[in-house]
Amino acid sequence: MRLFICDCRGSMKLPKIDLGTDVKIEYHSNLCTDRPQIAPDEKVVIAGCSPNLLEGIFPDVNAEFVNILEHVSLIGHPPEKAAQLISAAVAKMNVTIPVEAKVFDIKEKSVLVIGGGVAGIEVATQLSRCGVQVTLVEKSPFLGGTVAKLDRLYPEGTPHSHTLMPLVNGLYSQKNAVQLCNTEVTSVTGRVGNYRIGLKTKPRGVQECINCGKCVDVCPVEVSDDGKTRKAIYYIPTFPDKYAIDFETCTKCGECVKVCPGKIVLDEKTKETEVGAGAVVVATGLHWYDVSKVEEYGYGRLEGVMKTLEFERAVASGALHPKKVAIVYCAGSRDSKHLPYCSKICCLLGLKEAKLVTDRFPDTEVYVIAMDMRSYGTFEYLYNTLRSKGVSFIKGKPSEISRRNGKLTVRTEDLYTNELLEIEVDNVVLSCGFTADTETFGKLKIKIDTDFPVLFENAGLGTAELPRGIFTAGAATFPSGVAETLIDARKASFSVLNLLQQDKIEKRLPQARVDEDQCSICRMCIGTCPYGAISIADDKIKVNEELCMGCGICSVTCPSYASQLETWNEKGLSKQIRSLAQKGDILALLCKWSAYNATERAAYDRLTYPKNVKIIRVPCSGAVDPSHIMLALTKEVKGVLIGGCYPHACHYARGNFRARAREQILRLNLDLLGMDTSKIRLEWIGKDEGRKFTEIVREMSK
Amino acid sequence: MRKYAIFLGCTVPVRAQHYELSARNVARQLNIELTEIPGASCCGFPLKAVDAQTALLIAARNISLVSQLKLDVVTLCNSCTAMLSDAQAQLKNEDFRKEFKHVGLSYPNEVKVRHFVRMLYEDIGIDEIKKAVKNPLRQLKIVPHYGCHYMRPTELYGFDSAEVPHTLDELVRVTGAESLEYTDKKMCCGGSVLGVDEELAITMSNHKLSIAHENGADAIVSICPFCTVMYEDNQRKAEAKFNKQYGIPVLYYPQLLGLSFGLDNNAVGLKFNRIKPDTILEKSTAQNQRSS
Amino acid sequence: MIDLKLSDPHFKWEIMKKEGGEGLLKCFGCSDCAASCPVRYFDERYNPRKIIRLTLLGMKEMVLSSPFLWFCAHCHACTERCPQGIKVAELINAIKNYAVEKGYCPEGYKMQLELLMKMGRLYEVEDFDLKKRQRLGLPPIDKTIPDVAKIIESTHILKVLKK
Repeated sequence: MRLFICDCRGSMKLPKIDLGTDVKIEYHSNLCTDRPQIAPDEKVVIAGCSPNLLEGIFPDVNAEFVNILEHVSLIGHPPEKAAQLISAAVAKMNVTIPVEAKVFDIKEKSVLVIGGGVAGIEVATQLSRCGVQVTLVEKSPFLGGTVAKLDRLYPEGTPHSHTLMPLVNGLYSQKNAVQLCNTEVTSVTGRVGNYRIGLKTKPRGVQECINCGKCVDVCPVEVSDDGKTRKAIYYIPTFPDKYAIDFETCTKCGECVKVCPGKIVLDEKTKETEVGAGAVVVATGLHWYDVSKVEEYGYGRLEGVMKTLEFERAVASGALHPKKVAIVYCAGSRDSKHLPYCSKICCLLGLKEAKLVTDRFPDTEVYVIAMDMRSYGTFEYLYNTLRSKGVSFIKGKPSEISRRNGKLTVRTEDLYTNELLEIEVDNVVLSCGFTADTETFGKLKIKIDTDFPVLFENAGLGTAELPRGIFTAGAATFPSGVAETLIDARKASFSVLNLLQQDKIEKRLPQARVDEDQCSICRMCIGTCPYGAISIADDKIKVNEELCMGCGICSVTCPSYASQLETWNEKGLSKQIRSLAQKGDILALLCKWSAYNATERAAYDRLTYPKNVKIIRVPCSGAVDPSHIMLALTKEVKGVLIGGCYPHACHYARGNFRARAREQILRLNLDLLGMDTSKIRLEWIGKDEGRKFTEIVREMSK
Repeated sequence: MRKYAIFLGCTVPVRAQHYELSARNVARQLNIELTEIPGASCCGFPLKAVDAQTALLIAARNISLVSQLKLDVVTLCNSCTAMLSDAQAQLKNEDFRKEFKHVGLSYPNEVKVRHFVRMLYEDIGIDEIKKAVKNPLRQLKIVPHYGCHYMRPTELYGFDSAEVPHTLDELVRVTGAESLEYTDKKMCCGGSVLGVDEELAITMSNHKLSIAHENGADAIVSICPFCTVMYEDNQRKAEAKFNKQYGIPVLYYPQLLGLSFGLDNNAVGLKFNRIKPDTILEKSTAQNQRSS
Repeated sequence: MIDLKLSDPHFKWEIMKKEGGEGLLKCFGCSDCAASCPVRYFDERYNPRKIIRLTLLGMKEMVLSSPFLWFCAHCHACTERCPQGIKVAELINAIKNYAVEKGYCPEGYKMQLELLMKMGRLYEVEDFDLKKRQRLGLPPIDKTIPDVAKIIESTHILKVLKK
């Protein structure tokens, strides 16, 4: 075994270590810039700075990392502690199961793009231009997404068509792209490089069309569509250049069939197909928050209260000419009861609506009511323009929109003047925020709540690249304007290309392995896996290596130690604990996503704690085996701390809740045995909570 | 037969017996048995501004008494509902439980705290109540006043809607009366400010009185003795201060419901209403005569 | 003027410790509370946002000595709307409780405390009331509930008020 010790450019005092002849010690001063050659099958221990950094330098190495910078040197602990940590790591490495690189063949070189708005169109165009076969699915009958519904685009107020039509035409000139409108994804199976996707195409009704529009004249069904009225048979000027029937409202009266010079079929059937793809791009665009949930603003209850999109379309169509308008910002945004985050673009959408209405109707009085104006970057010029046009800005968050004396009334405080303010208007425009497309992500088995996936770190993978060859582009990543959407779409295209250029990819994520000889097929692991990665076939427990994310929860559940996590196997950890824990120590088993990082944060803030606090990095608090805690207790430690992510912040779904359940059961058992339960402590420690960590261990050492 | 403990609080049994009387008589009509709580005191709310902990303990003592009876409790006053509900929720908190035990209290059975009117809405239901209505008060126009602690805070109650409340409207409509839609339905009566600044309190109560007047209401329907103090007992003061003539009767909801059940004036304690509900009587009797 | 020379940096942390004061630091000053407040609607001398902001700035004397602190009707209109999920009415109540500890208890509240000490209820029940109840067929009620005094004595509030 090779042991590398780095003293961080001479900043650390190194201990004297003698681990016998089996361990070859190599001293370094800057491992991060001067990487030694290490063979893939070599077992190594690397002592130096944070494993968060070293893992990135040595991604392809079977190494156990020892943090002697943040856990010893920076907090003024003696070099002897470094020696202890290193020998414990060596003891562990001796029996550890090394990570085996998983190889995924990228068989399918085609791509599925979900969503036919500007993001999806751009991704499909870019990729097909590079020779990639693309299938683009759009659930509505026409391409264009939200942009096709808008009248103008901010900041200049250019018509949407000036941006959209060249894009759509660009896509239609590509030979490698197939566009399927009226189509939804029904199922996704497979893995990176080889997905099978089930598709359902609903009937369009109109089969042959010369765009005469006679059908619309005779259609008796009027449908309200985001501020405009259309018929059940309709057309929007993008692609495909054909009318379509909205069968959700169509009464099948047959009037259109009578006048149509082309061909309309009312009883067409839904088609189900399946396509293959090596990668999937989610480009499902903006999803408006249901602002009627903000009950005090009366959307859906009070006439004249509308959303930005509806207002824009109504003004553009000439159906609405208000004399006085209030544009209310943050309707449900930055609100713990609704959307706790800022959707970023709604401030600009609000400014755009103000501009559209003042440009068209200079006499209309416009009031923008915003608790904060977040016109970031150069969008500040748009804000400047609107002030110069005489738009009134009120600072505050309206408390209530109601009808008083027959007039729509907004009540707010104006923080600029510190006065209560009431304003009667013809229309209130709610600039509301956006939610993540949980439905589509759900079909792709990507679990998110209301926040966007980009706000989450996905285990072991970057932010633009969701697990298993699934990418996001445009507003599906996070709400964005058209320019930013196009930039994001190009970035996503590059990531997809990068993947497809490879014939295979390697993933070195620790993974659970089942020892068939020890396995009693009790199936407990199947239910406990948060990813459904474990199954039973031919009376054998199998781990699906594409699905396993390496949390280690199954190995703790397994009663016969048959399921073991690479690098964090039971034997390795018990060797490490045996070697490290001494009488009177505090042993801290900390989740690598949260509590472990807090210890590093503590070191950067030079928050010290007693030197007998020994830290062991684990993949998840849910992967801490009660038998290891018992082992530590038999070594007469003063306390055992298990540190995990806060509830609902677990990187492996519910690992921390499992940790809590196990801790409680362990406590009960210790109590029954007449043992002291006060030595065990489970805490949620966020990754920036260095102070919390130090306070806890200081308290435990008292 | 449904059975509940009834918590009266300070004001109702001494200053608003007609509320209590009508509630008890209405309950009887709906096959509800109301059980007294031996030793019940003030709910604790008057001390909340001085010391929330003390107020919570007094409330928790009352919860403890109910808990011994193995019943759920209904209250007639909004503030009592809030205070007791708060204490009930606090009993889940370990620290508070410790303090609670420290003063010698126990909580053997889980207790649900609700306003009497909420209980009518949830447990009896509009449909059941409708069956008991024998004398629909079709000509009456009512301004329902919810008061603050009937549905707010949502986090504590999870009932009705804090922004668009509707349950009392529905309960008024089931009596056959018209429940008026009016602005500032959720406005506070001002009762809590009475002891601090009477002028301000009267100004606040005047707001709804004037709206009720403009809407041609025959009565305001209240479900809290404090609100009634503000709208009925202090109506004269509001009239004097703002130089208006309102003369709007203020009925407790069970009084209105009782009339629709066909109970006589004494059974709902109408003679104790300070502003004589003559129009109500006329309209409800006229209705009676026509229907008979 | 707000003279921050007079600011007490511990003030906000002390309020955070009080029952109901927990949400204080979440305030981002949107003023939804003030715009929702029915008291503020009729009397601008009361403004919950201003009380919270001054508390955050540590202007202890300014907050505690203000008679307008006691104007809060505890109606929870603000609590419902606070986008940061602060129980605003409870927060204002926590500041009131703290003011009481620092010797700013309005006389009216002291009187209510005395009544509760004496009788366990706010209104005296006279024989006349009991007779009236009997006449109406209402069950009898206790004139006094001495347990309430015991509970009040078990807390620190009497000591605080004696100071």
